[in-house]
Amino acid sequence: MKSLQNKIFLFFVLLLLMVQSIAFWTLYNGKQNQEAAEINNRLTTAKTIFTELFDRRLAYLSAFAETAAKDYGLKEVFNEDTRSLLFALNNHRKRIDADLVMTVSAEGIVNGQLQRYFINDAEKIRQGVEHGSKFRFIDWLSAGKSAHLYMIDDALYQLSISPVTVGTKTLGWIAFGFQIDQRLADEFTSITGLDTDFILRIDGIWRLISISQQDANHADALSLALQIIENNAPDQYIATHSLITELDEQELGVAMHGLKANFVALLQEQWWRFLILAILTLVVSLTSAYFIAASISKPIKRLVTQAKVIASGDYQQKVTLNDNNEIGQLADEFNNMQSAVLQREEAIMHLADHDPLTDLPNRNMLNKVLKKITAQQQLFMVLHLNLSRLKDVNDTLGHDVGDEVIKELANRLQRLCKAKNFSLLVHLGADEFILLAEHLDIDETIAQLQVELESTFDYQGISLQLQVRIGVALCPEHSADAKLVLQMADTALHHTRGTGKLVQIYHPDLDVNTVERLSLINDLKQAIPAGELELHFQPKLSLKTNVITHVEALVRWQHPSLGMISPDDFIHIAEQTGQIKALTRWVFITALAQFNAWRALGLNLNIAINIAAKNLKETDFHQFICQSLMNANVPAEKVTLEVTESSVVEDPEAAIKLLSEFKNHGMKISIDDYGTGYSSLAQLKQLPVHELKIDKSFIQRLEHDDDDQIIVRSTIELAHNMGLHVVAEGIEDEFSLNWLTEHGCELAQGYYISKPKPATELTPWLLERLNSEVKGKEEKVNT
Amino acid sequence: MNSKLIIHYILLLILVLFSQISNATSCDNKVENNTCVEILVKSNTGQNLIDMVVYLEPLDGQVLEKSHKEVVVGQFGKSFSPYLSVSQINSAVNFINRDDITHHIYSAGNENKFSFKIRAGKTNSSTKFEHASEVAMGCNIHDWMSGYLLVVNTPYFDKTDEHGRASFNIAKQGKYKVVVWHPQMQVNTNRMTIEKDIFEHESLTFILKDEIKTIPIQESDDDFDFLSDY
Repeated sequence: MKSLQNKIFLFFVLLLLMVQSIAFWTLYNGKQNQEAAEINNRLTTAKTIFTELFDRRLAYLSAFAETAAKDYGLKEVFNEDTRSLLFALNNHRKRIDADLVMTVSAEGIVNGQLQRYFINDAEKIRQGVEHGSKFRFIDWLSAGKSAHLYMIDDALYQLSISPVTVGTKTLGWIAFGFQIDQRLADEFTSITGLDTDFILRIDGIWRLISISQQDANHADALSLALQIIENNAPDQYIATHSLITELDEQELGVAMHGLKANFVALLQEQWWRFLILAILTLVVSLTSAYFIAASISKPIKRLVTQAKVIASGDYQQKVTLNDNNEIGQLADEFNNMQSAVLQREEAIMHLADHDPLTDLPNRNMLNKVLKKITAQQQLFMVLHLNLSRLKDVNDTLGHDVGDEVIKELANRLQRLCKAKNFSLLVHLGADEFILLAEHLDIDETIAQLQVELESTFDYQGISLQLQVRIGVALCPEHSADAKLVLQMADTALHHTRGTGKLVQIYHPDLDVNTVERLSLINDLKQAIPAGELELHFQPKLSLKTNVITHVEALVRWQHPSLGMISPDDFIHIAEQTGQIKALTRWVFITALAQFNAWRALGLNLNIAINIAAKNLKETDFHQFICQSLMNANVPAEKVTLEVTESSVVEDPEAAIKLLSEFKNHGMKISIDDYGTGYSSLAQLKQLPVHELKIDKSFIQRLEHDDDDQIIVRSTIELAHNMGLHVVAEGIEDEFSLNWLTEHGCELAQGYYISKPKPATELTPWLLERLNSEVKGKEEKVNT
Repeated sequence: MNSKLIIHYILLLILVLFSQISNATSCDNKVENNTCVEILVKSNTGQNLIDMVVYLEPLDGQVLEKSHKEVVVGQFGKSFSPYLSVSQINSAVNFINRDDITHHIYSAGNENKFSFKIRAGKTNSSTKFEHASEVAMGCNIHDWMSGYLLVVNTPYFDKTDEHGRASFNIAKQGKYKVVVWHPQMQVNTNRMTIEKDIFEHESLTFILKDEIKTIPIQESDDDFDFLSDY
């Protein structure tokens, strides 16, 4: 993980390792050098000490020999009896603890000699073996040099000779000697720590004189000493040597040596101590480095954690660092930023959930609340409110006034909301509001609303009525799905536009926008080319002649999976999705073809075809109709165009113009569903129509409903007075048929006469009717 | 006049000097019946050597008169002065300290060994030298002082003069051992010896075979500041 902490730690580790390595390397080198220097130093020192010691002994001897030579007492007895001389000599010897003292007469005879020796560490003095014999080195006496190496039997002495004179007359010589033996070697060893061997070369042959006591290597002492003197010591030794040459005759070799291992042991120990210290230092340093790294990265980690917390949307936690440094400042800025972000987010959230104009909750909030309510399975009512005529206000008084009106409405609704138990007021935008209420009494709720909105809104002297249309849907009565309930309220509201009612409570019939319908939209596109559409025909009976003179072409959709679909279900879709054009044209051409088919069979029927409002807006519709008639060679007067009352109402002028052209062309024009569209009589007067088709809602209950009878009778009279024929549809019983016949209705259509049927089924029926009529006429003629 | 007189004096002086020289080169005071023996000592390079001890020892048992020469062993300037002295056996030897400090004169290693302190300006004549021998002397206080007293058993002893000569009037003719001695003479026992029957005037010349050593200077090796104040 490449965290900052690890990076810093790694950096420290590398740095420390580097520093330690350098230190270690330096010390190691230093140690090596030190070791070499120490060894060298030690050996040099040893050699120096030895030389110094040796020379000092000699100087001591020499000085004493000179002093003794001047002793008058000695001079007095020099040539006297030997015992006196020996006593005098011993006195002198004792003063410097010499191992050898001797006198040589002027004639070169050893006339006095004392040797010290040891027996079981006890000191003894004896007369020297050379007493009375000639001094072996006469030439030493005349030579100026006083220091000599002197050998008696196996004992080697460091000797200093001094002449005994009277004036310039030489009486003889006196010599003092220190023995070069194990004592010297041991003394030297105790000073230098090095084993010391003395070897002597006489006549070219080296012989061992003495070795220090602790030198274990007795057997090879001579060969080792020789190796050392030849600068050829074995590797395990540190060694130095000194050579004292005596007139080429004899040479004293001093070999000083020690085992390197013993010597280096102390340094080695120091080295280990240093190693341990280095490791300890490293461990302590690394631990410190770890904590330093942690102390640096810890606040950063906390900031990182805090950043994650903020990213997750939690703005409540503050990060507190007790640092006054940059990171502490960063933490403060972090907190500032956090509160700033919180404020902005709250503002944004508010904007997201509220309408900017009224500051009321918007659809987002609605959805959230609905979600919650649904989760709680609460009962609730949705009121979808729409402020009527806002467009008029905007257009006439300006959008500012429109906005004021909306605000006023919002205020009033809000007041209501506070006063009553409405759970939520939502402003969907523009003139649409939603009220959520847990109170399910619709009438009471509506009443409260109307009370609240009753008073007019006075804006700069203009008195405005706040009229509101309301769509209502209930949960779970209409649907358990909150969104569907909302949609249902919308549907209900939408319905009020058509009906002009102020309040509409949802019921399923209002809903044309079902899911099923949505799939039909797609399927309908395929229906015509796939041949799924077919025409059914319903006969119209001429009540005067009791003959079938007309048929109405009705389209049917044989859906591959849903089966037969009623035109009520899909015509509306076709109209809204722009497919009505193709549909109408298919119907028209198919109907004309059927006309010709029947004409060939001798059936001369007028065919009525339904024209949708949208068809009337098609620019080439007139041309298509005329062209189709011509193509099919169908007389125009054999075609009736049925137009609904409402389709004319939408754009009366254009409709009137087009219909007039059709009428002029010879076609019959019929007003379909008459009585449901609230069309004014003034319009009716202008319409170029031939007949009125009274809606089946008035006909179906004709037998039992006196009002319907009045309406139908009046309508028939009205139509007749205006020179129009009347068609009644929805005749389902004999009473209606007879009643209509009595009241002068021209044509009748309904199940009682015949259901709409495909041409294949209807044709035989028509032919049978035709034949019975012909028979009847013949019978009439015959009678 | 005066000048004549001066010249006369000068001539006279020269004459005196000459006569002195001629005296020195011959037997001093010629005694009748005495035989003059003249000895000349020359170095190996032919130079006349001064202060060489010469003595004649009778070998034929001649009875000779004891010498009456006063023998002085002086100490002056922290040195033996003269360096060499000669005396006959049993003669008085006067040790005269001419210095202003005490000396401790001694001799050792021979039959005539002695030792005494002699204070400044004093004379010590107490020591008898009974043996004919070379007496090397030193001072125990002043180590560098070195002098010799040669004790001979004959009245005929002398030191050569500046011409390397010594002369003796021999009273009794006979065989004599003529010896030339000097401590620095590089021969055995530091002497040259000739045995000679002396019956008539003799002139003997000794020529050293080797170079005679320089007489050691009797001076301290050390430069004692304090000695001047002593």
